[in-house]
Order: sequence, then structure tokens, then C-alpha cells
Amino acid sequence: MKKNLPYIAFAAPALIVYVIFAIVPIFLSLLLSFTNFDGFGANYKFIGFQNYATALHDDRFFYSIQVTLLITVVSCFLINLFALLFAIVLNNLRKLKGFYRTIIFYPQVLSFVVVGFIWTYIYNYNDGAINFIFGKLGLESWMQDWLGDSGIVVFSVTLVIIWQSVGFYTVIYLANLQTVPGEVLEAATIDGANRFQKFKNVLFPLMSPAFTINWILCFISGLKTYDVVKVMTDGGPGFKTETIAFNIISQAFVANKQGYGSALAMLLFVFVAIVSVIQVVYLRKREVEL
Amino acid sequence: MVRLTWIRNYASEWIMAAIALFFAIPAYIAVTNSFKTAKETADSPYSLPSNFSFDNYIGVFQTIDMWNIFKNSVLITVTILLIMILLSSMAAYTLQRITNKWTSVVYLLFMAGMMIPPQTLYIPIVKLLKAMGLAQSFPGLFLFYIGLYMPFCIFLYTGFMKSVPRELDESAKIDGCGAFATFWRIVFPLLQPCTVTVIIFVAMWTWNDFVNPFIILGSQKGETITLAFYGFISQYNTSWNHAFAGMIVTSLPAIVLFAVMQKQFISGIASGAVKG
Repeated sequence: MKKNLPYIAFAAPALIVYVIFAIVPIFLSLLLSFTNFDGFGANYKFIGFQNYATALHDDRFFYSIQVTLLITVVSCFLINLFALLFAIVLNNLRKLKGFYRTIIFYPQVLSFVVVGFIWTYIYNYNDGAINFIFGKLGLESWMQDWLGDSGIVVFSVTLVIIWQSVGFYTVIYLANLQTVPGEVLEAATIDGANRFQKFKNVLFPLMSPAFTINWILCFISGLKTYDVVKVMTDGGPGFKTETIAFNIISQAFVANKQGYGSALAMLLFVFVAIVSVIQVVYLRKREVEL
Repeated sequence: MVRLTWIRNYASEWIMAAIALFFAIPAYIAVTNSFKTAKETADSPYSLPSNFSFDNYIGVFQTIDMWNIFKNSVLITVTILLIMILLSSMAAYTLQRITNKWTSVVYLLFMAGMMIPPQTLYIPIVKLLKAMGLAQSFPGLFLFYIGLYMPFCIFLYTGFMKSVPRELDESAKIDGCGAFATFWRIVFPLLQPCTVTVIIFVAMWTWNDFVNPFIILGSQKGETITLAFYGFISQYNTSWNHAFAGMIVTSLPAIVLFAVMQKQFISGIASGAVKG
């Protein structure tokens, strides 16, 4: 015990702060979720499962889950697809590799507030770049109110998320691609594998460490989507782009229904935990070692 | 290294140029319009400015106390970096070097934190900080960030620590080094690539963070760069040329830093993600 003392002292500060500011709040949140706390008064009371019962009939909450899942799944799928493609193309370049990598990556160093703002301008109906280009090409019928049309808006927001973060994921794929030895692909060619088979059976399995980390990082950040929505649409039109994070924050800090907000937060926590565990177990299992 | 011959080289170059255009256009729009008058932005938003006027930029500096918010953002980012490196590397050292049931429970507890959505924490944290007298203060924000970032940093450090041989610790011990000196003099310098990765991730998250300071520090004061820009566009949302100038000014520090340290950025992200 005595010889372990310095090691305990090494871990203790991190553990104490982490427990107080990350673990304890989860339990506080659980407690608050059974109350009608309004964020100010001290005289809130225990109301049992009422908040959870309300949540089960809250169409706005269920809609925010749908929006979040749609944004998350579509952005994860497309980000990984494009990032893998960009990495392969970048890796093939003979010159200007660093230059192109910089151009793809730079949005990552901007905040979502900045990125959301500039795309608000690009999506603008009257003089936004997209409608401007369609107008010049004589494709007036393609012009849309990108952030005002309730059928399109969620995809407009998703595109911005992809634009901002695809460079980051490309860099990770590129690093992994550079560890794949060329001989493996040559061997597959000699064995008569076609291009698609080589990609599916040789290259992609060897890229799975990058795919695992990219998919998980992307999924977790998708479920947290808030900033870009706050800046671009403020959850609108209607509730068409209201994500779970947006919903919880407006319930808790705008409507001051903190007890109810806590119940929604607990549901989100359980949901994220289940999804993460399933993904980690599944993705780790299909990784191959070289 | 692998080269896929099925995409011909000239095709790669054309594909890449098209992709680059898609990424460059928004930057072009922001930069050119920040030098135009409101009328010119409205009339010809996509042409080069007819004369470079810095009026919009002067307007930005008259509205935003740039020096102060820049100082705040630097202070927050640097402080949180120092705390995270110090606490997470030391904790990871214990968790990786000592293997018993206590350390594996603690390690699992940290890893479980990666699944905590920050939205779950806002309500209780704001209440907790109020009770501690730290509401809307920088120390409150630091404590929140430590809890939030700790799992990821410990994950990176413990993963990387596996490649630092234990024999080094032992020979240092034989030479009479205590645990503290062994870690700081022998092990920590060898963790440098991992520290670079931690710096890049934590700095990028903290510098560009909007929602956490928005909730913890409050929306009124506009104390960080991101909050200040948000306040600025809420005020100038109809005058695009001013807002673009504000955008350039508030993003410039991060862009310059990225331009200067690009190599470390890219390799830090790549090594952290692929090895971790």
C-alpha cells in the first residue's frame, strides 16, 4: 500500500474532479428528473415519473430524436464515404498533395458559428451562391429556399456539417492508408481479384482501425449537434431542424423546465450509451490485424 | 505505401481540383465581401471588390473589444491545456503501469465518460456551480471542461503509454529515482507525440467552442471569441459585409496558428487516432 501511494496521488486529482463534474452530475440529473425544478426556486418537489410520462407523449421531443438521427446517420455515412474517397485521391496525387490537404482541412479550424454563418449566406434565397449559380446556368426551377423549405432544410444543415468536418476524417484515413503495404494489393492482383474485390476484401478491412475511430467520433458528434443549428436556423422552420441537444437546452434554459429537461437528458444519456456500446463492440470485432 | 492505379493520375488531379473549389468558394465569398460596401455586396456579391476598403474592419474593432475577448480565449485555452496535460498524463501513468482490480475499475469509469453527452450535464452543472459560487466564472468553465475532456485524454495517453517500455521505469527506480521524478524526467518526455495530439484536439475544441461557454458563462457578456462573433452577427445579421469582416477578424488567430503549425496538426491528429 505504501509503495503505491505516489501512484494514487498521480491519479487522484484527475479522478476527483472527473467524479465531481462528470459522474455526480449524472446522478443529480437523475434526481432532478423526478422533480418539477424550474432553475431558480428552492421549493421544487418530487413528482415521480411524471416527467418521463410527459416525454413519452411529447411529439416535439420525438421529432427532435428523428431529426438528430437523420442528421447523424446521413452525415456519418457521407462523411466516411467522401473522406475515404478524398484520402484515396489525395494519396494518388503526385504533386500539390499538401496544398489540397490544407484546403480540405481548413474548415475544421473554424468554429461552427463561423461556418454556419457563411453557409447561411450561401443558402440565402435572393443572392446566395447556390441560387446565383443556378440562375446563371438558366436552371431557375432548381432554385430553392434552402433554409426555409421544411423538406430540404435538414439536408442543407447536414451538408454544412459534412463540409466543416470531412477534412478531419480524411486526414485519419490518409494516415491509415499510408500504413497499408503495396504488396498486399499486388498479391491480390496476382490472385485475380478485380478492382471492387480488392477494395472490399483487401483495402477496406485494412482501413478498419481508421473506420472504427471515424465512425464513432462522427456518430458521437452528430448526436451532440447544436451550434450549427443555433446559428443557421434556430431550430426552424417550425421544429424542422430542432435536434435533441437544442430541445433539451430550450426546455431547460429558455422555458426553465429544468426537471423536464433533466428527464430528456437522462433519456438521451441512456440512448447514447446503448448506441455507443453496440457500435464499439461490433466495430472492434470486425477489425483485422495485419 | 499503396497507390491505386485504377484511378488514373490525371483523373485524380481533376477530381481534386473540383473538390478544392467546393472548399475554397466560401472562403472567397467571405474575404472579398469583407472589403465591399453594403451596396456593392448586394449588387455584385461574387465579383472582386472594386476598391479595397477597410471600413468594415474598422467597424468591427469599434463594436467588439477584440483585445479583451482574444485575451479571454487565449487564457481559457492555455489554462485548460496545461490542466489537461498535467492531470490526464499522470492519471494515465498510474492506470497503465499498475494493473489491479482498482485501476481497471477506475479506467472503465473514465472510459464510460466518453459516452456522456454534454447536454446531460448542463442542468446539474449550472446548479452545482451556483451552489459553489462559481456560476458564470472561468474557474467554473475549467472544472466543466476537465470533466468533459478527461476521458478522451486518458484514453490517448494510456494507449500511447503502452509503447513506453516499463524497463525504463525500473532502471530509473534502481538509480534511486522516486515515482514522481521517474514520471516527469523519464516517461513524460517520451510521451511528447501524444501530448501534441492532446494539445491539438483540446485546443481546437476549446477555442471554437460555442455551446459550453454559452451555457456556463452565459450569453450576455460575449466573453470568448466565438461568443463575441455570435453576438456580433445577431446584431449585424442584415449587414453581410460587416459580419464577414467580423468573421475574418475572429477566425484569423486560429487560421494563422494552423498555417504555421500545419504539419504538427495533421500528424498529431493522425497518430492520435490511428494508434489510440
